[in-house]
Amino acid sequence: MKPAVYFAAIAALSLAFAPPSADAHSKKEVTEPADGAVLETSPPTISMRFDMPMRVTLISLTDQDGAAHDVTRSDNMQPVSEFSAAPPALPAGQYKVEWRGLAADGHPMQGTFSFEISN
Amino acid sequence: MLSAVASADLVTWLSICVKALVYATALIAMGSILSILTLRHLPAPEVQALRRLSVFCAIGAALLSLMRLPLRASFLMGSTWQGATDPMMLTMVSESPLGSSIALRLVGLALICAILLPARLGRPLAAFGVLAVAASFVFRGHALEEPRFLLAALISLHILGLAFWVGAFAPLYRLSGANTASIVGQISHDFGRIAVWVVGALTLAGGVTLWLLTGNVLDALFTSYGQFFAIKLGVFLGIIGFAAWNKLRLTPALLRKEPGARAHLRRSIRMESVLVALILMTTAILTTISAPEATNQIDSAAASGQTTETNRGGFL
Repeated sequence: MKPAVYFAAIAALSLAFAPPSADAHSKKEVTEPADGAVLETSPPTISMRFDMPMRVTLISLTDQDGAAHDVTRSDNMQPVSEFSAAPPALPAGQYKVEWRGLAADGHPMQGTFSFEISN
Repeated sequence: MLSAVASADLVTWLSICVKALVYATALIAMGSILSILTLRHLPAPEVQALRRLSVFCAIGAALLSLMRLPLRASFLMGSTWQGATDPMMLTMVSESPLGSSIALRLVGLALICAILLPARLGRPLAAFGVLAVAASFVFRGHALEEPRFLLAALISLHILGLAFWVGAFAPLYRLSGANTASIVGQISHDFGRIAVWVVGALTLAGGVTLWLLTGNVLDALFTSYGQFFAIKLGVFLGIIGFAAWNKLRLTPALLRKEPGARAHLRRSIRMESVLVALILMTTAILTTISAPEATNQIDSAAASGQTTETNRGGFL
């Protein structure tokens, strides 16, 4: 069999097996509080907006001492374009949110953002 | 880019290594079949050796591909070992495009093992297996993006060309070590004849893929992904261009049974193998921790916060 035949065959097979259309995946997200924001009071929610549905598989909130603070989420780990979780009442300090997720196009994603609650 | 590499955790590095090994074993399995099918002057013992090598690598590629599922599940749960065995995460990953990709790859690798059957049945099945394994890679990452048909075809072409190239290493190396200069010269001639087309196809496929993924090649060179991609592409094309020229130059010398020609070929193959291994590792890093900037469209209407870059894995 000649190579040209292989190349033609692979092209045909690729078309046959080509996956359904998917939009470009999200690489950046919009967060609330904004990254680097300085707040006067504890935020009522922590939210992230994606440009395509995302299953957030992990979210953690830690303070400057590395202590974890539980957040309450209601998405049931379903794909959402806007994710939100309620933190407990947080004292003044610096906080970091870390998350991981699986985008609708199958890409694993991760991100972090930080905010501060002033005295 | 460098900060992303530096901040990668253990599971991410393990994923990168497993991915690179999947590339290597799958390419050798595919390439060995392509060598059997295209290098007509291979002696029977070499064909037997290639059959064994393809099956060995197919089994290795299958096991390594399956390892990617718990590794992905672990990543999603914060790179913990507990995540690697979490049934819900494993189900989620299995149902994602990675799961579909691995399923098709396993079918293709199983078909490659059919090369052990009598040639009349085994070779067509193995050839179809090669196509299925190549197609399995287009289920991933940027092959999912528009224009997906063209990207799928280009990426498949890229993989098939690379497999052919890598698959010729073992027979040429082994035969050049034996006292079979005229046979090596003939096989090198067969290889060089096809390699010229492969180099052209890879050049075209690489350039068009970069343009499609980033929108504009010149603009892409100002992004870390584009720079990484361009470096990889440049090194790769340099290697195969050099290797093609080298083999074309060596072929007449081998056919003339010139002293030193076989040793020169062996050195060349060793060097190419090391460079290809480096490129596979680079590709595994590139596809795990970076993404084309063309996909970084930020929702301009959303003024509620700032954006944070995320890392991702995909493409292949």
